Amino acid sequence: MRALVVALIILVSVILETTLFPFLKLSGVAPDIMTTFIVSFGLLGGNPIAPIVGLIGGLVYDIVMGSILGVYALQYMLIGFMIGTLADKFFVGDIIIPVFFTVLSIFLKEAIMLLYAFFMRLEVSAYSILIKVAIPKAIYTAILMPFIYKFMQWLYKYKFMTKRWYFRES
Amino acid sequence: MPRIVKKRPLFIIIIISIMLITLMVVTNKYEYAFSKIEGAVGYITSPVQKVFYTISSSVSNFFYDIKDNRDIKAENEELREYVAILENELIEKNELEKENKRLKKLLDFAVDNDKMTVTGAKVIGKNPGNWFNVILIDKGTKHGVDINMAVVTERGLVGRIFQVGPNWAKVRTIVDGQSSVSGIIERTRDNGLVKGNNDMGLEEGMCRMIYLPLDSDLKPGDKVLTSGLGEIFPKGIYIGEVKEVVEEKRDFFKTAIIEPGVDFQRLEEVLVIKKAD
Repeated sequence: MRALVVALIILVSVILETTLFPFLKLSGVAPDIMTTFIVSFGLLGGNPIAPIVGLIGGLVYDIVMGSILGVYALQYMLIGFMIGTLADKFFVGDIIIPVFFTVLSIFLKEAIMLLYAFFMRLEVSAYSILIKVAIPKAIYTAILMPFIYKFMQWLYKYKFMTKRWYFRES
Repeated sequence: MPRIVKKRPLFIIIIISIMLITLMVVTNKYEYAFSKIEGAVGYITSPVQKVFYTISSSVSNFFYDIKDNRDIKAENEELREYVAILENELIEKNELEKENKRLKKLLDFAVDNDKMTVTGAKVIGKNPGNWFNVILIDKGTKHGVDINMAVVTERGLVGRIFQVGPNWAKVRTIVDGQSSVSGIIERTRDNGLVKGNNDMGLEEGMCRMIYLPLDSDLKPGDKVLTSGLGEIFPKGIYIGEVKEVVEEKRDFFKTAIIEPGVDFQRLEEVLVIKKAD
C-alpha cells in the first residue's frame, strides 16, 4: 500500500513538474515539488524511506525529462538521506522546520549541480546561480511546502505509512 | 562489530552515490546507452504528459489572454508573424543572391522544404529546471524520427534530438548549456560556434557565439544561420540575431550574444527535419 502511495506521489510530481510548472515560472524559476515531498518523507518517515523515495523519484525524473541518467537521482537521494538523518535531532513543528529544511535542500541541490557543471566544464558562475536560481527557487518552493507538508501529515495518520523499514542489521 | 557495519546507512548511501556518478559518466558518454529502458518508461508516461501539457498550456494561455487584452494580443501576434514573415523573406532574398540560390526558403519549412521535413510534432513536456533546457515531443522512431535530427519552428532552430523512443523524443535546445551549433553570420559570412548557457549567463534565454574572427565587423542586428558544418543541422536555418558583440582582450576571437528567434517559453508545435546530406 505504501509503495503504491509513494509511486503515485512520484508520478504526480514528475507529471506536474514537466507539464504544469514550466507555465508557472516566476522570474525564470519553477517550484520544486519533488523536493517538498522528499523533505516531508524525511521529516515524517525518516531513513530509509526518504532516500529511497529520492532515489526512485530522481531516477524517474532523469528518465522522463533529464539530460543524463543519475543527476537528479543523486541529488534527491542525498536530500532524503540528509533530512532523514537530521529529522530526529529537531523538534519538527508544523511550518518553520519543514520550510527551513526545504530551503536547505534547494541549496544543497544547486550546490550539487554546480559540482556537476564544474565537471561538465559548463561555464556558470556560482554567484549568478545563487542570485538567479537558488534563492528564488528556495523561496518559491518554501511557499509551497506548508501545503505539501499538511497533506503528508494527513497521509501519515494512516497506519500503513508508519510501518517502519530498517536498513537490515546483522 | 566493525565500524563500517555500524555506519551502514551512510555506507550504503556512499556506495549508491558512487554508482549514480558512474551512471552519469556512462550516460553522458554514450547518450543512448539506456534508451531501451527509457523508451519503455517514456512509452507509458508520454501520453499522460501529452494530456497534462495540453491542459496546462491552454490554462496558461487563458490567463495570459486575460492579462493582456485579447484583441491587442491577437493583433500583436498577427503583426509579429507578419514581421517574421517579412524578415525571413528578406534574409532569404539576400541569401539567394549571395549564395546563388543555394539555400532553401526558411519560412514555412513544412511547405517549402517538403523533402526535408520528417514530421510535425507537439511539445508534450519541458524540463522546468534551470540547468537543462530539454523538451519532449510526441513523435518517435515509429514516425521516422531519429537521433541527431534537427528540430525547427517557422521562427528558427529549436535544437537537435538526442534520445528517441517509439512515441517520444527528447530535444536538446540550442539554449541548453551542453548544446553547440556551428553558425554563420549571414551578412559577413563569419563562422562561429553558437553555445547555449541555460538561464545562467549574463542574460536569460540567450546564446553565445564564440570563435568569431577578430577582424569581423559584425554588428548588433546581424542574422545568424546554421553553417551546415558538423553535418547535423542542414545549412541555412535561422538561429537568431546578434544582440551584442563582446571583445575580450585575453581572447583571440570575438564573442557575440545571440537572441534566438524561437521563444522557448511558448513552444507548442515543432517540425523535425532530416539530417544534412
